[in-house]
Amino acid sequence: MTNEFLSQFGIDWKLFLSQLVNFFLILIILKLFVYKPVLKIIKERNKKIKEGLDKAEEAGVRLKEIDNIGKGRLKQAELDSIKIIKDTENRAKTLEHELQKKSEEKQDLMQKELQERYKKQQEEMHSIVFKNAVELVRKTIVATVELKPEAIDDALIKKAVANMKDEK
Amino acid sequence: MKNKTKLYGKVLAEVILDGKIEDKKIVNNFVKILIDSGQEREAKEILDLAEDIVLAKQGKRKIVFETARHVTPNQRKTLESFVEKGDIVKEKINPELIAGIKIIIDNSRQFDASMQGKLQRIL
Repeated sequence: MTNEFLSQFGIDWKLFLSQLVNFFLILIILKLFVYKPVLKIIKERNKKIKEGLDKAEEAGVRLKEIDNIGKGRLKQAELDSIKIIKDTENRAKTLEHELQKKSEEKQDLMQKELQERYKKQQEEMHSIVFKNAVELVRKTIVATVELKPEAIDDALIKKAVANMKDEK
Repeated sequence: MKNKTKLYGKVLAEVILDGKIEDKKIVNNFVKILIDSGQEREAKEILDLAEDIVLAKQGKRKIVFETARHVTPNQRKTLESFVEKGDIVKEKINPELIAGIKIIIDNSRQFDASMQGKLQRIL
């Protein structure tokens, strides 16, 4: 009955059975030699991909950290540079002030030296003029005396003797 | 050295004033002492000092007339009117005075009536 029924549908149960056996044989062979190695490869690849993703994530985190550190350092560097600039400005101001002070002192000193030199020159000039004047007066007196030496001597001697007599 | 000079002058004056020793002997001894003590160079100073002391003791004056040139007879007459008997008079020519006279008495008093003195006082 069953055979008849299968025959009506064109199915040969022997052929079907052999095909079934073939199918399972192929299934076993495929499972053993294809499925398992492929699965293993896929698993390994998945593992590698996961590792790669993990590492990428870790790298991202670290990059972020580094970025944060970099930003922090940049900010610190900025603050440091501002501080350095301010310090430099202050030092420059102090230096400028000191230089100005020194320059003023030097200028004062030079001015004093100049004044002293000028005063000394004036004194020297005055001394020379005075000496020349004295010499001129002396020469004039000598020339005048030489005109009438006896008369002048007479007058001066008489005056001297008179004074000495008065003193006595 | 200065004290020694003064001492020699004083001693010489005392010996001269004493008059017990001959003048010639005094001179000889004085020269000998000067040579022995090596004070020949101070001889003039010692003699001047001794002279001053002797004149002072005798009440006489030593007068030096310092003039610019030799005095004329008229001027000498004028000067002599000032000189007293016994005064020792010395004349000295000093052209630096220009004109006039400088009278020095006993090396202590001085009257400067020279043109040089007047010039110095003015300037």
